[in-house]
Amino acid sequence: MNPDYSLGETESLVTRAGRGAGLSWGQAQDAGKAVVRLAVQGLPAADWFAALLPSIEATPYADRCPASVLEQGGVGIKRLWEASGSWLCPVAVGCSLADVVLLLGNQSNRSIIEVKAIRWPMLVAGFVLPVLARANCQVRLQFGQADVLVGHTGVFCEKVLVALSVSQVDELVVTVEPDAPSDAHPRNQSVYPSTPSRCELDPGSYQRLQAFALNATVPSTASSSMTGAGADQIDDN
Amino acid sequence: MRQTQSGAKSAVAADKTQLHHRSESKAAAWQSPVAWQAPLRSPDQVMRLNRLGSFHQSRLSFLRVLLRRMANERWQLRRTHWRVDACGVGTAVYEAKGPVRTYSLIAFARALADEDRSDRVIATAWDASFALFDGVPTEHDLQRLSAQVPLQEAGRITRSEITLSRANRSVRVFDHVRQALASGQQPDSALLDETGYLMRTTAVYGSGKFGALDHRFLRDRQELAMPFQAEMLTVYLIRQFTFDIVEHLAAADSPESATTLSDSTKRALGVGNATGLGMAPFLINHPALFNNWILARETALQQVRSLPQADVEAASDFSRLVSRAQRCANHWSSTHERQQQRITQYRQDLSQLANWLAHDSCFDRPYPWNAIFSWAQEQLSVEGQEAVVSLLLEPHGDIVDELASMMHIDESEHDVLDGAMTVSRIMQLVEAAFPDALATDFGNREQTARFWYVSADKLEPRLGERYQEPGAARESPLAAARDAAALYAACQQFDSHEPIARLVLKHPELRHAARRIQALSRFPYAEIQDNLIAASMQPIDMLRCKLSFFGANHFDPKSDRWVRITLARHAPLMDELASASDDWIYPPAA
Repeated sequence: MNPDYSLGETESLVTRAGRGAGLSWGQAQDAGKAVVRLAVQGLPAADWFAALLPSIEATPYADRCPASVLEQGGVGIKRLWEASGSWLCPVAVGCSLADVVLLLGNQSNRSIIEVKAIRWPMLVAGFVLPVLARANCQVRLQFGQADVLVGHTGVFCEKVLVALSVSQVDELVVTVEPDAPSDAHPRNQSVYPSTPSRCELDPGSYQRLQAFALNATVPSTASSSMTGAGADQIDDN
Repeated sequence: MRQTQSGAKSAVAADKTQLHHRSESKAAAWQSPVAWQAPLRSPDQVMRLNRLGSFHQSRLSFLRVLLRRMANERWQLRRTHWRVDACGVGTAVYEAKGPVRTYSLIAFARALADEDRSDRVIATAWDASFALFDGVPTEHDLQRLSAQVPLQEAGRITRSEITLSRANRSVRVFDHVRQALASGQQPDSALLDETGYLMRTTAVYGSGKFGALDHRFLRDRQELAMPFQAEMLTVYLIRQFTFDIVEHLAAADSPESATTLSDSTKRALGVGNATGLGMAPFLINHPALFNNWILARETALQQVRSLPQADVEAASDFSRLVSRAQRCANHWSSTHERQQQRITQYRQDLSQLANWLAHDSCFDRPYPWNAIFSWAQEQLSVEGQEAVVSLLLEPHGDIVDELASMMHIDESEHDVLDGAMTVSRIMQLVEAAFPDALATDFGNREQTARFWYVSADKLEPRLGERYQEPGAARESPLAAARDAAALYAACQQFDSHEPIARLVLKHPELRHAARRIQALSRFPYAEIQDNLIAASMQPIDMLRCKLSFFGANHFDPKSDRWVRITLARHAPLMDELASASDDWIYPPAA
């Protein structure tokens, strides 16, 4: 059994690691929350995120983000999301998808987005989870062998974990559709039978997250230890 | 007649529109059949570092909320385990049994050489270390924790533990008390008064730190749902440990002659705390929560000011507490020059207030509490004004205390960006929330002189000098005013009707700023309206603000970013909780 960490520790570590790998603070913060949302669904999202970090570090943002997600000059959503480079980052896609879902909210029609060449596609679910209730919709993610329903009560699918733990797919099809009660949906099997209160992390993933998180910190010097924290060395009382 | 709770609760819904539209005019109110309601103070007035850094503890402070609850619910507090040797090394357990659950403070005491004692967060050894255990620990739990808790940050605790803490002795006071008790004497009260504690904590970690239980799993427990209740329970139980350990050592030193601390001496002692910058970013990173703390306090003030008359008992209580506050002020000292000046002014303020109360029949006027508030605003320093705010709440527990329940919030509902919001709306929000930031020249080095960062060695927040030290490229996202101004500038490059989703896709570096500004529209007291990276910024103001909400007093800054305070000084002892008066923070003359 892997060591477990509190959800707060996990969020903090993922956020700092994301920032250390080159995400903006805003995206790194959203990634931290997204990973924890999936972790409490029983998904090894922190391991997925750890595996993603080297490619984030190696690729400029402009090459790994969707070139555009909205039609020019309007609020229409583009059907095809592609990167300028060779792959799409699930953090950038997840952030943008959560943003535009609110634009699509309360619509009676379903909208389909085709996301090309995305890495660790299941991470996207963690970003959209918190906006679904507000948008009165649910999101279906289809990639490889996986067919996942993300509703505001959780993540549901029929497939086993291995189908979700995919490092890259040629296409992720996202369907944003009007909300429906989860018990009315045929794929109403939660991916995890109970709600974990901790996040288990593979030791290798933990080390990798720690290593990237270090990049978001400033090494101490004798001077900064003294002035930066503001305390003196002497206990005079 | 005092206003009802429902009146107080209705104010919770107050928004900025109400702030601007409520009339300040009492004259108009007297001609109207509708009772006048005092306005909430505006965020522009309250959310300034100078004022936040002048806050005092109040009825709404978390330690007082906890002690009130424990008193009302008749909690049973007792020491259940004491296995400490003559050198002061060993284990103790204190049990706090509430109506539903029991919590246990587990203490590990050690013998620390004087030269190894440091309040710095980089210290690796302490006189005592503690964990607040969820329930009653077994022998196995004690064994497990004995290998982890003394290591503090280098150890691991589990979901069975809620807090992790450590404390050092106050060298002068602890040794003096030990020697005095060993010789059968009570310690020198003047020395105790000067310091106010036997031991001081240097950190009380909670909320999932180092493996502890996440706060989200405490939300459905009434007794710990409020912010920092577990941490305050930890501190309160540590206080009893400090009495027990010094008495134990005195008895070990001289079994024949040793005596114990008198109850009155114990009451006069609290727990010290040395606090550095670690706590400052909390106020920036938790805007919704911070808003609710301030809003509760401001709502309480509003409700008290709106009372049309003062009943005799409340008026008498107020005058009595002002007198006690004067005496307490005389026991407040600091070696920090800025604080010394403020304390001197504060004493003068209280003296002026007492004098005014004695010679002005303010309690016979309509809206007497508002008269006192208005007088203080005009006559006193900011330090004095904020002390008066706290004092005004004291005789009004029936109005104020219930407001504590609004001081917590599930932040997860408020930290999601609304990508559909238009660029023009974002610009309006920035204009409303950061008028000063838009007028600030962030190209001026004075305005960006500092940067917040996290240190690699201890993962602690620190403050650097941007143009003198390396590391600014790894700055933490705490410069809210600068980032809001940058967001505003970027908005000007986009069509005003476009959704913000497009802007943050192109400018991911502004995503956190856009999310924050949206939250501020719902939480008017969420943002400190000063530039937090300016050369003139005093971080100690943030520390004091947060510590005042904990219930701390005797602020004694050691620099602009490090302060010593005392918690639970004059608080009732464990066996006195049920019968003690709630105004213990302003003790009567000995």
